[in-house]
Amino acid sequence: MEIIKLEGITKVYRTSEVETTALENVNLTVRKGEFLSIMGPSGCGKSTLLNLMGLLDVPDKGNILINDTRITEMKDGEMAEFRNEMLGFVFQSFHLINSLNVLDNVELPLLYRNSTAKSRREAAVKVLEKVGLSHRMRHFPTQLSGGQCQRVALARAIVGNPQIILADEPTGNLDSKMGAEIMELLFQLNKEGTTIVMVTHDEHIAESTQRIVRFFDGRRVE
Amino acid sequence: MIRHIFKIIWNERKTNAWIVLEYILVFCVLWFCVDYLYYMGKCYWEPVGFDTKNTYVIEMQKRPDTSFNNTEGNGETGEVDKLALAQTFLNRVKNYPGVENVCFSKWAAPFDRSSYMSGYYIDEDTTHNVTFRLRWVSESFFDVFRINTTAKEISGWDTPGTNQILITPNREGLFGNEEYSAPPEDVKKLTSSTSDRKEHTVIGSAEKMKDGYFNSYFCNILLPLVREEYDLREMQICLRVSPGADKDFEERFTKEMREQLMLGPYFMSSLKSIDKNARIMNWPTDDLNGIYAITAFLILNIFLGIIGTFWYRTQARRSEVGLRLALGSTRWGVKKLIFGETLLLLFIASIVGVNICINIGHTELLELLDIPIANRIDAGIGNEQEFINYALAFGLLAVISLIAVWYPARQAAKIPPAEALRDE
Amino acid sequence: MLKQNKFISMIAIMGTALAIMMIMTIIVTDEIKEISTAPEINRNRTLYVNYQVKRDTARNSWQSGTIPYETLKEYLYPLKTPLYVSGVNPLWSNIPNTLITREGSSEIINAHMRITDAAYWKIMSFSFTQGRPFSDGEFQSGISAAVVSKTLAQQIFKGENALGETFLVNFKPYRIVGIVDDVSPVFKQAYGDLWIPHTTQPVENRFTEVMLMAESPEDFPAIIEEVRRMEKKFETEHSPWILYLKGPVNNKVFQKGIYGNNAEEIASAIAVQKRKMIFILLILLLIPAINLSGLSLSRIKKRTEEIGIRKAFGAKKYTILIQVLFENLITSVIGGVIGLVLSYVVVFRMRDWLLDVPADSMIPVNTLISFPVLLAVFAVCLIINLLSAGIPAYRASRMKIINSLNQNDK
Repeated sequence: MEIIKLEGITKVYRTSEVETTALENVNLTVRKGEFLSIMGPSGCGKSTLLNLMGLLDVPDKGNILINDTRITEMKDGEMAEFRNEMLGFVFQSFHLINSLNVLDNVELPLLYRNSTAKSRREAAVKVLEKVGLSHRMRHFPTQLSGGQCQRVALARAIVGNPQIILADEPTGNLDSKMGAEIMELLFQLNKEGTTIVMVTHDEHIAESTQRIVRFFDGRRVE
Repeated sequence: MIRHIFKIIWNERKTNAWIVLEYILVFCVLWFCVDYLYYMGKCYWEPVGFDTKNTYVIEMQKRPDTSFNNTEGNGETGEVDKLALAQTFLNRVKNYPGVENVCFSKWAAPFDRSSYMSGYYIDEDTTHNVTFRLRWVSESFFDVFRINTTAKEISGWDTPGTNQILITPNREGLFGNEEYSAPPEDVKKLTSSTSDRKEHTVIGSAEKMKDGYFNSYFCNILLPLVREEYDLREMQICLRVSPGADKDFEERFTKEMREQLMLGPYFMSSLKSIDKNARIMNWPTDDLNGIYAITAFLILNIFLGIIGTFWYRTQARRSEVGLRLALGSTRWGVKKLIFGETLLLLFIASIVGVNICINIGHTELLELLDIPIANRIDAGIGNEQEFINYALAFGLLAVISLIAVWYPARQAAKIPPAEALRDE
Repeated sequence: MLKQNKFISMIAIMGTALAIMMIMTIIVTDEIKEISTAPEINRNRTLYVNYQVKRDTARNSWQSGTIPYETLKEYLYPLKTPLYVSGVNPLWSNIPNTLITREGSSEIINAHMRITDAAYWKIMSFSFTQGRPFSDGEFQSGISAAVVSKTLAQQIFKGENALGETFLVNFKPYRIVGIVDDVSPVFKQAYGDLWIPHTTQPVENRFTEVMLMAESPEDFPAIIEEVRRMEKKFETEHSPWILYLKGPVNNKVFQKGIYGNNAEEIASAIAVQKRKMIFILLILLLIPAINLSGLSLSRIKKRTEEIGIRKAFGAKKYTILIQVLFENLITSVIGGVIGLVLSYVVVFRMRDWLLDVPADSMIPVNTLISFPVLLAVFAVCLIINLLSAGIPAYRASRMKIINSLNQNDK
């Protein structure tokens, strides 16, 4: 079953002086439960692709369908709800909120749903245990190392039980041991049924996923 | 949601401290401005006891050059039939087209700076010497200022020997002072506390009167101005004009009546509208303008302060906004967050502010600084005023803050999440 | 650097301008009332007495008000220490109410009449276009001589020569002996359309505000001493009445219009006014300072990384401090200049309230721009700058480099 479908996607970035084509006429299908890697040299549009899949950006040309629903026809409120229920993000630069502690950061997605404070707290604690950070619950992001921050970001991504996780270079800032732990968690989630689309430049890590898609200069090459 | 905002505010308390401090300061100053302005407004809209619409006051002066005068100051004046001149004056003015009625008075006209006080005993009580505001008026005074009285008949009240008077009550409707007072209908006579112990019979009462918009309702005694006292220069001369004839009345009357009103040594030096004058004479312009200026200053400062600080914040938190959008917040949700933060900061400050203000109100600090304060006892304002002050001060600041923060909030929520996130 | 964030710089400049505008309006208004310039060229060495209280100690009754002529004549003219003693009637309202007419014409002009004496012309410095003031001899003899302003002369006599002509003041004839240049209403003692001697008016019109001009301000205590002795003289001559003459006070206090029934009340009233002024200035400085402080804090937070780099490459703490203060100084100065200009506009547009003069009066330029005013602007700018940028700048310069680079300053 096709959970994500991209048809003829084109995205161009315009500044007052230059025009850069980030993606040109891209077609991509992601099946439910898949663990997909997207690879390519830096600047080839991988992150852009992920942003589009995550509805963080709009394509200039083409269609995006998630669960057979056309994204372009959605209103802002619908899109927000969609993002909240279906998607989980792990960003390369973590993007944790510095003025909230770890626990509050992880709870954040649940704030946008109808839930009680108690249930939110329970879910967050549970997921922090899963990533092995329950002893740092009251700390602030500025007091954590890179690896710990990434684990918090991952916890945040999964706290709402999303169907799809979009991860942008999740191991990019970590040493090999940390990186392996993160990948371990991702594989675990995938086994439990979550679809994972991961952008990476690490060949070794990509090999262990189910499918690799390669990009070069905004176009798919494999 | 509120607890969430609270957390954010608390965790950034160092930067927030500045805004809260400013809010507290502004809130406190605004509190007292609002208090004073409310009091002024209340007093202004209360009835003065006189209907001064379409009324004028004529000022007569004495020519300095005639034999009727001397420049040595030894008190002698030449012979002048003051009563006859006053009568001629009355006739001529009454005959002018548009003039409905004319009256003479001393210490009585509304919005005049003069006042006369003296002490009396009420009815049979001889222990309480109560001070009253005295006004001497001719019969037509009641018609000129449309004063309704409970007296059956006023004409003839100046019959010598009868000592008839009218009285008016204070704000609470009683006649007297804090120690001794009675309802006006129960008061039958007043005895003067000066050595002559003159007795006056009360023939009725009128509505409470005050001397200016912001004066208190003193208890008044209205006495008849007897003909022997008529002196064109010493009396207040007031007239009422019919509404139809009131256009450019000052100019026309002054021009056309100048000659006719040169009577003996007297001449007309000015004709003024009582209504217009009221706003000049009795108006605390200095204090009011000062308060307006400070209020405007505060509002502008808060406006600039909020815009500036929140502009910075939303800039600095761009990626956070993008993140929230990514995690499922709507654009309106982001705006709500920013609005909520502003109002919560204001609320915290207002709680501190209220405490400070109410405590200051109980001290003499304001008098020591010559800050214009509301005279609450005079105006009949009680403790409910504190709630009104809070509501007005908080409300005003809330509106200004929301307007100020609207633009940065809009800018923040407009960005596509991807762009915001990339902005690290 | 300022251009980097135009919006914020604009806000900072506007905030400073607003604060400076308010403060300078107050200072400029005070300057206009205090500065010694023609015709009130001797303000700095003149004492004023404009109020007296007479009390009957036997019956506990009071009379109070402006100085009547008999007090002036018996107890103030004879003072030895002042160079000159003069009394002039106070201006009760901004609306002229003296009737000026001319024989043979039915036209009536309303004018401001000042009733005074010969010493007046020595204390003031009027600019006579024709003729001269009335002399002491004319004053003592009660001669109906008048000095008129150029505009009034023009209004009465149109194109003809006015000097030596006769006109009617409240129907009494006066001869014009002098014509002066118009005076701005901001000069409360000097302003008028015509000036006539006390001795030509009935007693009930002779109420005065008295000016005592000294050789130099050092004589002030001696003059005050002498006035107190005159009060004692009154007491002996008119027992059981006692006399209190308000003051004498210098120009600054006089302008504030403070009243009281004895020296203590006046002193405490003056103290209250001082406190009020300090309080108001404090508020006008503090609130914008907090505003700007918040802005500066945010601005600096944004640039912690840059500051860290500068320090890593050798900048001293001291340099950073100066750099931040200097950048803020530029906004302060620009805001200050704008604020000063705005304050002039405000004083001009609202002069009827601030200076208590008719809404269309002239204000002489040399009262507006003076050294104290410019010094005040500069001082206020500096204060606001220090208040708003001082603390953030200090903290910025002291942050550890590595913290700056990591933006780790929680």
